Amino acid sequence: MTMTAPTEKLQCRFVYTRLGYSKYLSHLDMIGVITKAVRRASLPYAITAGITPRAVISFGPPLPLGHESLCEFFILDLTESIDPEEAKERLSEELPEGVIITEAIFPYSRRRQPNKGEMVEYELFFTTEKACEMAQNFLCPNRVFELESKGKLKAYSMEKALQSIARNDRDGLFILKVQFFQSIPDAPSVSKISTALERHLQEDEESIFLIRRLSITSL
Amino acid sequence: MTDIRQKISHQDWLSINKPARYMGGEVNQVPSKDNPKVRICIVFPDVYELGMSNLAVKIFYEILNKRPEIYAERAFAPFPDFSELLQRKDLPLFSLETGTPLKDFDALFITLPYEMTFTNILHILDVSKIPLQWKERQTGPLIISGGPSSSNPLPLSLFMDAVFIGEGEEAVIEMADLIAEMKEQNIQGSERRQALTKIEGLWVPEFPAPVKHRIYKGFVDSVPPLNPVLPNIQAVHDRATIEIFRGCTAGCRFCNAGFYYRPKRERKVEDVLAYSKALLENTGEDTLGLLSLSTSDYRHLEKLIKGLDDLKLYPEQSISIPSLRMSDNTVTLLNASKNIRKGGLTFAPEAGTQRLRDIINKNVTEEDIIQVITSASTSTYKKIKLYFMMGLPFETEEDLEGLVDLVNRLEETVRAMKPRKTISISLSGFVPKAFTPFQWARQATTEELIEKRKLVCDGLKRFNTPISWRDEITCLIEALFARGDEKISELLLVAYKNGCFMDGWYEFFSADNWLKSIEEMNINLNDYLGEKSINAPLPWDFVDYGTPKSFFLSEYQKAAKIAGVELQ
Repeated sequence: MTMTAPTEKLQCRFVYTRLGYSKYLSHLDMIGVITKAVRRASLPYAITAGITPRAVISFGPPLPLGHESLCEFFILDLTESIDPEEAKERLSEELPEGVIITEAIFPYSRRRQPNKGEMVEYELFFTTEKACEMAQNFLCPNRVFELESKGKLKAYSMEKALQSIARNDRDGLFILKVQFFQSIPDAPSVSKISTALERHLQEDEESIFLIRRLSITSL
Repeated sequence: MTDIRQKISHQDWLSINKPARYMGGEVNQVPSKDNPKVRICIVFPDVYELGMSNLAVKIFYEILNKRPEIYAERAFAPFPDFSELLQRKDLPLFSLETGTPLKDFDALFITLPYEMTFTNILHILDVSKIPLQWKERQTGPLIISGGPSSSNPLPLSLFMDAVFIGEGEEAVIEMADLIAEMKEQNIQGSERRQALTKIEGLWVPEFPAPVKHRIYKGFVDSVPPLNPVLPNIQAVHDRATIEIFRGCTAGCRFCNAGFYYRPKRERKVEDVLAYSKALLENTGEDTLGLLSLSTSDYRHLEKLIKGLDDLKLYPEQSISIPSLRMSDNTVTLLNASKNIRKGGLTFAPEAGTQRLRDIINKNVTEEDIIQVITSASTSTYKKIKLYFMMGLPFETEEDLEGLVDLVNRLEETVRAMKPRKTISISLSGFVPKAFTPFQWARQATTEELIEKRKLVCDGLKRFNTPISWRDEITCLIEALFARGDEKISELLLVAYKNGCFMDGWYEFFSADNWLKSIEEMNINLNDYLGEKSINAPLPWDFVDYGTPKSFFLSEYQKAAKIAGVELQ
C-alpha cells in the first residue's frame, strides 16, 4: 500500500448529518474532527506533498453555526479501493454525537467545473404559527434588508437568493421549506438571511428554533 | 437529573462565542453510568481549549472512570459571555457529560495549573451557586484542589475543604472511595472534612496540621491516559501527548516544578512506544507530543525517536518535542528525524550572563547557546524563541546589558545564515516561589521591572528583535499567591468581589482592581515581596516537601556566594 497521492485519483464521497449539539461546531472545527476520524477509522487516505503533508479532503460549503443539516459532504482522496459500506460504518463510529455518515459513494468522480454557486434547500421550524407567517412574509423576493458589515450598514436584496418558499407543517410543528441560491453574484448567503430573519422576529426571539439544511445542489 | 443545557435556548447558544465549549458529546467521552456510588466533577479553572490540553485532567478522568462505581465528569471555567448568560437566566454551571449542576456532585476536584486562575475558582463556585468559603458549606460537594500552584496552600485556605499537595494518581481514588463511604453514611460538615485529613497529601484548612508532599511511586509502570476525550473545538495543544518521564534533575533554583515533581522517573522506551501507538490509534492525532520538564534529558531519546519513526502509524505523523536543552547535539538529534515537527525552536537561557546563569543554576554556557544557534543554520527550523527572566536574585545592570549583548550577537549570527533565521525574545519578571532555593529572595518592584524591561527593549532596537513580555503587575500578583498566607486568601476574596476574574487573559486582567483590593486590605507588599530572613520561619513550613528546607537554604547560599553576598 503506497501512502503518496496516486496519479489516478481514487475518491469517495461521504454524506453526513450535523444534528443536535454538533450544529454548534464551526466548519473549521468539523474539518479537524473529520480528519482525525478518518485516521482512526484506518481509511487508506492520500496525503499532500510538501513539508507539512495533510490528508487530501475537500469539504462542501460551510454550514452556518447553529444550522442543522442532513446533507453535509466531503470527498476523500484514497490510495486504494475501499468497500463504501464498511467505510461508512467505521467512520460513523468515530464521530461525535449528531454526526452520522448517511452515504458513502465509491468510486466517485468529481466533475471539475467552474463554481457557479449552489442551490440549498432548508427547513425552518417555528414555535408559533404567527412567527411562521411573519417569516413567510419576510422571505419574499422584493425584500431588502440591512446588516452591519465591517462597521457599516449594508443593504442586501433577497431577489437573487430566494428560489421558492412553501409551508410544510407536520407533527404539530410550523415549518417553512425554502430553496435558496447561494455563492452567486449579488445573492446574500443563507447565513445572512437567517440572521436578518431572526432579527425580524425579535419580538419573540425564540420563535424560530431550528434551521436545517436538507440538500445542496451545484448549479 | 436535570440537564441544564436543555434550559438554554438555541438563540442563547448562538449569542455566545464558541458554544461547543459547553456541549460535551466528544469522542471518547465516558457515557453516563447507572447509579454510581460517587459522582466527581474534574474542574479546570480556565477555558475548555486550555483545559482539554491539560494532562492532569486527562489522567484523573481516565483513572477515576476506570472504576465502575465512580463517575467522573468535566467542567471548565465559563468565558465571561457565558457567565453573563448563566447569571441572566439564573442557571448554575454544569458538567459537560450530563449537564448536571456542579452543586449536585459529591465532590469537585479542581486542578490548579497556575496562580492566575485562582479568581476563576471563586467564579466557578459562584456561578455554580456553591458558597465560596468552606465555613459556609455543611452539605453539597466537597471542594478539593491540587497542583503545583497550590504547593503553598495558604492562599486558598478560606475556600477549599482540602488541598492536595503532590502527585494525585493514587490519592484521587482514595478520596473518591472515602467520599462514597461518607455519602452512604450521610456524614456532613466538619466531620466530613476531618475524615479527609486521613489521606496522605491532603491539607484541610479547618484542621490544619503538618502535611507531607506525596509522590506517585508507581509512575514508571503506570499506564498513561490512552483514551483521552477528543476536543470538538481546537485545543491549544492540538496533539496527542505522552509523558515520557516525570521530574527533573536540572535543579534550577527558581523552578518550583523541578522540586514538586522530584525524583526523576523515566518510562521505558518499549512502554512509551506501545502507549504511543495506542494513543495515536485512539485519538487520530497526527502529532505526538513527548512531554516532560526537560525532554532532552530522557536517556533514550534517540532510540525513542527512531522507534516512533519506525512506528509511523499515519503517513503525515510527526513528533513534537518541547522543553529542549540548549546544546549542539539537540539540533543534530532533531535533524536526525524528518518526522519531528519543524515549527520553531524554543529555548530558555533565562539569564544573559554566565555569572547570573550560575547563580540560578541554569547549566547552560554561552558556548552552548552559540553552538545551538549555529547548528540550527543547517536545519529547516526558521524561528528561534528565547525566554529570559528579569529581576532574578543578585541581578545587576551588567547582567541585563549582558542579555542585550548576547541577543545582539545571536542576531548577527542568524542574520548571516542562508536561509536567514529569526530570533524573538520573551521576557518575564522573576517570581519567587515557595519550595525553591529562592523562596527567601526579594521580588523586584513593578517599577523596577518596568525599568529593566525598558533597558532590554532599548538595547534590542538595533536589530528590531521582536520582544514580548509579561505584564509586571501579573508577576506581582503571582508572587503574592506563591508566597502568600491566610491574608492573601482574604485578598483573593476581596479581589474577586471587586471584579477580578480571568486574570490569565490580558483582555480581562484588571491591574486597577487588584491594586484597589490590595489597598482595601491594607496589605504591605514588602511583607510578601521583600527579602525574607533565612532565620525566620516561613508560613508554608508545615508542608514537608520531600526536599528538606536545609537543602533549599544551602542552594540559596551557594547562589549568594557566587554573587559575593552574605545572607541575613
